[in-house]
Amino acid sequence: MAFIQFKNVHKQFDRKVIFEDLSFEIQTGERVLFQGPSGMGKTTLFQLILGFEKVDSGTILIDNQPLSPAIIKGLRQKIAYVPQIIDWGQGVVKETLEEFMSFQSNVRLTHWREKMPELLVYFDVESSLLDKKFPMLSGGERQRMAIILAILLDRNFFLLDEPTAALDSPMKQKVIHYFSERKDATLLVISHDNEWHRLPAIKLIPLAP
Amino acid sequence: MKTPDINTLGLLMMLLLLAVPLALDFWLKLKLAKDMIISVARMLVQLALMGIFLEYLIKWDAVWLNMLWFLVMVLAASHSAIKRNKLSFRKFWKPIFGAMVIAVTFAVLYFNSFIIHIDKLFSARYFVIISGMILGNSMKGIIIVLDKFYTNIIKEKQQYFYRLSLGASRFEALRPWIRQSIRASLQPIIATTATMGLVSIPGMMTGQMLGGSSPMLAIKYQMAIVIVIFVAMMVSVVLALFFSIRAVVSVNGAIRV
Repeated sequence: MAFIQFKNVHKQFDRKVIFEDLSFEIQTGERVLFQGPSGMGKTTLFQLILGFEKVDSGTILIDNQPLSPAIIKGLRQKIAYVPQIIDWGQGVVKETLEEFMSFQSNVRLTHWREKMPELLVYFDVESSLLDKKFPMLSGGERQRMAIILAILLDRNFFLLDEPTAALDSPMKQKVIHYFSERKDATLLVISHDNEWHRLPAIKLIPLAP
Repeated sequence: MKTPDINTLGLLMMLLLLAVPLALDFWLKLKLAKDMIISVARMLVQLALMGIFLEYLIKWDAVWLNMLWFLVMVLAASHSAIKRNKLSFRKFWKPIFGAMVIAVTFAVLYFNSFIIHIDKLFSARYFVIISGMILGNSMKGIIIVLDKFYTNIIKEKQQYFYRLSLGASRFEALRPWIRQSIRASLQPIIATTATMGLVSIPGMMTGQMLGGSSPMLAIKYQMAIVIVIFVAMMVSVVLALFFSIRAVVSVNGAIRV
């Protein structure tokens, strides 16, 4: 079944056209890499899917239903999103994580504390980092924490916006390896890193202006 | 003891005193003279009008008229708080007006009935005057809370979107900005409360003592009014913020200021 369909989507900010007549379809379980020059509004694509931005014309269908306010909330609870700019605010990492997990729709995630140590080891994050304030974290640390959080949310759809941009090569490999093993997941990736091409069965969608 | 009157000569002498700042302005080329004269003129006209209104409000002392006057004051305060932040009056007036009506009415009626125990809760001398004092402060708080909240949430939109994507409801997602802005709006009054009587003699107390009250009585009134003002301010800040969020942030988190 088609998870996401874009039909003739048009989006512009002021005079700058971001998407003109954009159409594509993504099936549940597919792995998709969006390609296009930077500054092309690939980030806007994810913000349209998550309902943070609205299309100017055209339709977005989610599970064959038009993306409407009524389904946005449910959709956001299904999708794990790793944004390009990761901002957890000013607080201590551990406390912020606790807060995210205390959101009404996340309280069902009772086992995240047990799952975390393993992920910290896998993504090479020292546990002392959890006691730091978020603004003290480096770009790579933020990225890894955002990926760990996305995994802990226990959702099957991933929207990853440049998830490996700030990571060194071995770590990029590890991230890609992790997602290649997630056979259950639907992946939507925006990345300039060539390593993502090697993900088995990845489908390319070009975003041309 | 009766307060000495200020006669025409006294009023002229009062205006003459302005020669000092004007001379300083001229000497230092501050170019403040125009602004200074305009604001002093506004102050004189506004207070003169207020004096006339209050004369009649106190003379007639009709409950409905006092209430009407109160609502007009709240509306003016709402207008001023919204305009100061360059927000849309159409979208914001109901939440802000509602918040102030609830908070200030509660505070002034509490003051009138439980602190000074008067029978006529809506009598002009107390209801109109006390609510005016409370209102001014609530308005200052609301100006800060709206400014901090809506400026920061728009500046930090990406962080807000991220929280929504994690599954937060709109109020869960807005929590950091709600906290920040309420704290910022109350910090000034908490700071002034702590130094009250040390660095300044509060205006109302001064007025009462000039009017012949004993210092102890004036001080008791001052204590009560400080607490009532603080409570009203906090309640109106919190209500104004929550009501306005309900009005301009959709359930899905879209902000339409």
